[in-house]
Amino acid sequence: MKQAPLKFTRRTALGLLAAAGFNQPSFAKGVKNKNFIFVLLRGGMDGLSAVIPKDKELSSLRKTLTFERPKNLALNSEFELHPAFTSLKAFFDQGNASFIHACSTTYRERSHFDAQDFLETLGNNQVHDGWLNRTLKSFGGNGLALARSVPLALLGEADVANWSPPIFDEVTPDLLDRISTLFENDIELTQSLERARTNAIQDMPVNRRDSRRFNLHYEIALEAIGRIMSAKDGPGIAMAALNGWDTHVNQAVQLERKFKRLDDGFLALKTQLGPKWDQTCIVVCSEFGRTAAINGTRGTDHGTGGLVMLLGGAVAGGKVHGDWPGLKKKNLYQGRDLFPANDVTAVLKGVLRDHLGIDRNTLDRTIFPGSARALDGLIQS
Amino acid sequence: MTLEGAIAVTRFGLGARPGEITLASKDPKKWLKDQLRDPSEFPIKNLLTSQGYILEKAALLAARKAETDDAAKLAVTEPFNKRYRAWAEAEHAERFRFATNSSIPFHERLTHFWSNHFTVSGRTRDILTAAAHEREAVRPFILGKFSALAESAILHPSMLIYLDNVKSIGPNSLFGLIGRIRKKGLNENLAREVMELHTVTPSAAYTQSDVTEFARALTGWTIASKRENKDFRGKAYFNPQRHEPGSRTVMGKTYFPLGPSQAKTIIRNLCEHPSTAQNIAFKLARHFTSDTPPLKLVERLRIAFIKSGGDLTTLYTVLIDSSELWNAEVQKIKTPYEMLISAARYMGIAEVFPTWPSDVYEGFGQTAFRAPTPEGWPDINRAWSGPDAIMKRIEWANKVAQRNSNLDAHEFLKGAVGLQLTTKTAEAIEQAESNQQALTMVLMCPEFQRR
Repeated sequence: MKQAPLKFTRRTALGLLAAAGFNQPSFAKGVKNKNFIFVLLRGGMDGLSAVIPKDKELSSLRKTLTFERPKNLALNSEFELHPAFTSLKAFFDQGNASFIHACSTTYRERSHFDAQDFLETLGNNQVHDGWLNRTLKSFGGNGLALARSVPLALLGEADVANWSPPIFDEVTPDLLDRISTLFENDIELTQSLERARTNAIQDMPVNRRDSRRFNLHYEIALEAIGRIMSAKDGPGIAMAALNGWDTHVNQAVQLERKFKRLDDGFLALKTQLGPKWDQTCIVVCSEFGRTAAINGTRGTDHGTGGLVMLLGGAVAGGKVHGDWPGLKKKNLYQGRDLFPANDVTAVLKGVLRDHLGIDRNTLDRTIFPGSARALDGLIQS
Repeated sequence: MTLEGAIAVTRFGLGARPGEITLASKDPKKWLKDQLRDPSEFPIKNLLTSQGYILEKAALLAARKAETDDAAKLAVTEPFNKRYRAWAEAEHAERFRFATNSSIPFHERLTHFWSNHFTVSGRTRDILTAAAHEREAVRPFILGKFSALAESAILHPSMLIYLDNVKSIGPNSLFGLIGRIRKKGLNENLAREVMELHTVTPSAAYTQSDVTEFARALTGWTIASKRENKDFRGKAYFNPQRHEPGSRTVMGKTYFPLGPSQAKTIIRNLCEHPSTAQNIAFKLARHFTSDTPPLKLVERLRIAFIKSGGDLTTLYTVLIDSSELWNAEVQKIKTPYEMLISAARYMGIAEVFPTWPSDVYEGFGQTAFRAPTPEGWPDINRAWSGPDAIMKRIEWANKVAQRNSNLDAHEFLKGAVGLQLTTKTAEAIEQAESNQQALTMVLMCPEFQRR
């Protein structure tokens, strides 16, 4: 069965819901133009290297790992920021960034893939779809995955588009015209091709070699999200999955480069979003943190408590939220990992409630069934 | 050449090899039915069995454990990684080659369909056991009874690992009570997915307690370690010391404590449940017609399932004999993997991979043995027809045409699309300014992109 072509905008989406007999979601009023971006750092990002506690135990745990480089950037009396994060530091000072340290889901083992699946579904093992897709279903509008294929967090009933840089050479407009003619009697293919051709991303100047591995070139992925979101009728909810955070070996060197790329990406994202930055909240997190102590190959191993970063003009920034369990041996989880004192789901819940205006009932029952209380005060009131 | 010949080759098969439409045109239905005689044999030169892969992983863990120093642990891993990469590449290449060269493509389509129905997926090493699962537990069983296929697919070591049954321990079993296993407890993952995806589906209105009871019955089904049982090392076996004792009640039926056959009997009864007949009928019809398959076809398949006791060859025969499958209009969009195979069947394997196969698979978002969830790859158009996906297909087609510009586009159109060709497509391709551009358009025309 083929459907009539549709220009898919937020308005038509809501119109369709109404036509299908659903009531328009009540939160649709007053929260238009809100943007939410979820950035998943795959591999287990070492939060203790990014937002560095001033605990005296750290130097004995990490030895040379954190101290052979320029001076850390000051955050507050308890924490400093890795020196590669110059833009992030500026955001923090402007009240556009905050952190929740020692943060984890309720998953307590150390498998990347199980932990990522857990973080991307957050459905208490009851469901297959992703929490961000369930969010999209409640919130309406368009969703975008900056990935080769839609990641689990965005998989589900709600329609999600994905974009990734070309694998082969781009083709000429003439060829595209000819293929449009070829598709003329095929509504579905015509609609896809039209949407692809009007995509705001087309002229992004990127190095082709880098763009093939865009999920390791974080600056490319994050800039692309900004470009697509800032377009007219651009998606309100987006996700990027960035690889390469499993730093078992030579961590300090690796992270310096990766943090720089991520920081460049944050700045590019802000620049691309332009005025939309003020209505945006970006959540950056990883499936788990890493061991508190250094291992035998100047790296760290899979751990538990990690770091969540919040960025964007909508964020109640300039703070490090949540509890800090400390790094004394007796305070470490199983004697080895940063203790998971804060809950990632509680952070996401607080953000979706206060930023996107999703009601509590939907959050508790549909999006995050069986989860903890939302964390307050993450979004500017 | 007939229209029916083209339909047999594209809708039922994997896309035309040169001359295949002519071959199938003689008697399309017979051509299809003749493919259902014997199980297909997959050559395993350069590959291991699931047991081989499982023992290899055990050896890797043992080698790492033997070293205390982190740097040494890293060093012993390297030869294992090298072997893993070679096997992984071979698994992908052999599966693709086997499908591309198959002279019984309808049979192979069905193998891929069932492999997706009983998905086992991995992201690194586990892709090897996933590949072995298809070879050992799916491929030999697709012509027989659904219940036999289900039992082999569910109780295969790869599935027991993938859906965590190897971790599941009956709380009142010997291991649960006194064993020294660190993480004890019931894991419901396999039971839940068997009910939800493989057999009855939530339409059967089972409850959480049915899932838990089935999970208890499944405890004991595991893979033997060297210590547990030398004879079954690396293979699936039933260890009574892990098995939750007692009778179980699943969906109103009581199952007595009969060790390994308790779970097997539950699986068989789930397979015979009317909701399973509906599930399989719908999925098969959707796969071969459209996202919204004709209700009469689904009903015909459902009744055939029940009447034949779930005989799969009977269902395939119903498909072949159903008029709904023989109309000229193409509806389903080929998945990227199907598109690549169909192009390779006409052009050759190297010709359709302008860069590393793994980059092409990943670029299209579909790498075999890596489905994102136990649900498998989606079998609906919208999962594969998004703007980015279509643009990637155009870029691929353009590149493939550039590299194969000597291939005659009109011959290709005739040989691969045959009489399914529409006037619109014929006219558009006629306007092409070069053979190369025409080739791109053949690869992108709806008749080739759909099946």
